[in-house]
Amino acid sequence: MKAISVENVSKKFILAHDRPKNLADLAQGKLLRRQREEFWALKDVAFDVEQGEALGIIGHNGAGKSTMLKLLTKIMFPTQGRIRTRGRLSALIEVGAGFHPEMSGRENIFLNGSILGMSQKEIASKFDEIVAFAELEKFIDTPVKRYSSGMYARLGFAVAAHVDPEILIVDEVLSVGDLAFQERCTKRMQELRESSRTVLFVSHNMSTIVSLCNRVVLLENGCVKMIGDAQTAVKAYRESLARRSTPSIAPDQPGSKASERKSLIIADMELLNHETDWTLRSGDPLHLRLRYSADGKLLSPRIGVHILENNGNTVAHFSNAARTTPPDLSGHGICDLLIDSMPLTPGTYLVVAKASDTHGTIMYDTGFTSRELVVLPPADEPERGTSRFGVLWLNSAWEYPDERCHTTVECGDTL
Amino acid sequence: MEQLVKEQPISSASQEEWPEEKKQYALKILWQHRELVWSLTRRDIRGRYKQSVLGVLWALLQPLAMTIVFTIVMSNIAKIDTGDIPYPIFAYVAMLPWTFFAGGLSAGSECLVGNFNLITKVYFPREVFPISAVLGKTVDLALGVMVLALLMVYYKVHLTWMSLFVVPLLIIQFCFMLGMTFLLSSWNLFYRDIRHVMPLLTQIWMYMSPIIYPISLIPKRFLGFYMLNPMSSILDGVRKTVLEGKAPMMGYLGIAAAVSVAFLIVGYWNFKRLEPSFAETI
Repeated sequence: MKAISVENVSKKFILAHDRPKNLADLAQGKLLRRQREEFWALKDVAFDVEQGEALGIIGHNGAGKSTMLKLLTKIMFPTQGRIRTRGRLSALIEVGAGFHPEMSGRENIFLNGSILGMSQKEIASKFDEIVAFAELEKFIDTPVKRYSSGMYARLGFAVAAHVDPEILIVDEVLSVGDLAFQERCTKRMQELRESSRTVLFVSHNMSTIVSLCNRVVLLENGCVKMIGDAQTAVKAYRESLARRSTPSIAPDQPGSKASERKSLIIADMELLNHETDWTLRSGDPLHLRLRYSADGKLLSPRIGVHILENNGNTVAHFSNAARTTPPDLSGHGICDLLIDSMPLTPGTYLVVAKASDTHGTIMYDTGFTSRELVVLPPADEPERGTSRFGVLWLNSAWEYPDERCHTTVECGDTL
Repeated sequence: MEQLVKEQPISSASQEEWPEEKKQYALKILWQHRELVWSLTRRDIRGRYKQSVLGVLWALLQPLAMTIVFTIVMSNIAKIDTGDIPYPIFAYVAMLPWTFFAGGLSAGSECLVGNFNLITKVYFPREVFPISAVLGKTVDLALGVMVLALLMVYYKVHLTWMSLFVVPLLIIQFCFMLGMTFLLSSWNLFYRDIRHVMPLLTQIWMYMSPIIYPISLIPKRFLGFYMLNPMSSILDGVRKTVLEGKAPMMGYLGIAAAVSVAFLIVGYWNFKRLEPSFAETI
């Protein structure tokens, strides 16, 4: 049985550029000739969600994910098409919606709960559970304005996680709190799934998507690019991320007639210093071998390698034209990129290779390769996995020259 | 037989049963969300006077201060004749519902803009905002009534059964306020001009209503026009029934009730018409 059916949904926004802002504008008659621009945030989107299924929605920023969520939760309404849902729907679009800073945690639980659609009785019966989940027993009668942002977010998520809907819609709120709390949230989501709730999940975090969702909808520019199992869709998403990470060339750019367009295809990439798979430990060197095939003789083509985060941000970029003029290339061949050390925070990254002409203005016809790179903690300290903030993992030490004691443990006790 | 087998999966796939979208009636929606209305009202009340030294006393101070000022100006300088009734209580008894009205309208007109965070993030029927904004102001009114009781003891005003009329009078006023709030809050979302109009509007409206002067000062030929303002009938009615033990002017009160209900219906209709675009407009 279907829990949600999205039937050919389109959503149009009207961007009024010249809305009269003041009397001077009005006097010039701008009220009458207001310029309007239509913008289709979603175009003809259709998918179904079966009861008990966990569906992920992924896509770049601006692909239409948030609009889709707002339509599903009835905050906005589709311009065309329709959305039908079966059963009580609850949305976790923002944690702590409606919190009043002057009110205590206790009062805000009741307020937030009823905003999310729980009855007062229901909240009262789950109250202790919520407080324990948020780990705020001691501060529950403190006004939330005195909470740290982490406490605030924890309380918000704790309430939301205890709403008991038939359909739950979640938007990236899992990225709050420390690692332990995030794990608890993921566990809670898993519980909801196992109790055959329908879950819709929007995220940039691909590993969560893969672990939680059985099916994934990939949105691109407001259209459904593909619907498929999580692994396939995530792979397609990563590929399109790679394609977007450098500006692509407009196909009708002057001087790039088909006959003049040459190409440098990067057929393959391999890790030289790790023969098994694309896995290395934080701090290891990275030796990358690219196999290319050039279409005719290319004058000093540029080759670039990007290391991307999961959300598409570039962590590092290596260009063969950075220090020297690259050599001319023709036919098939190999080139190696030697990176001394990759001190990345453990996680998954994307390695993308691209090529362009010598000025960097014409990107050679695709053929770029992208590979997923898994970074593990260093072998000698596998436990150093508590902090996953940032992308760099640099060797460092803390010293306390003013303290007389010699070991940090003792200092920790006295501080 | 073959046809049956062929057709069945097609029809069941394409015509899956969906819960019918029932026509929801205003009062039913409201009843379903009564706890939410209550929660938001409580938030309004709790939040209003927190972190202020005088706290809830501010609710009493405003109508009292106004009464004192007008007692000095109108009674001692302008020498307005209020019959047997001492001017302070004459003004205060009308000032109370008026403060409720003006306060409700100014809070109500801001209720959607002020809750934009909720409107763009969580769905529930938006009418809970105007309703709880107006409800939140009833606490101030109730507190004011206690001061009124003290004043009545001090000035030795005798209560009669007539003062029970206050209940229907306030219900009419509540309907009128809700209707106005539905209109103002939704328009304010599209045109923030409303925000700047509000103080001016309430100020002019105050002088257009029988608060600091008796209705007997209005020339007869203008009275019909003057009484089109529902607040005229209501405030005069409250004064007559509570202080003088007389019945309100029923004919005019009927007009006030009709105007109020009309505002409520039009306001609600307009509000629901604009509701789908709220989240996009903010």
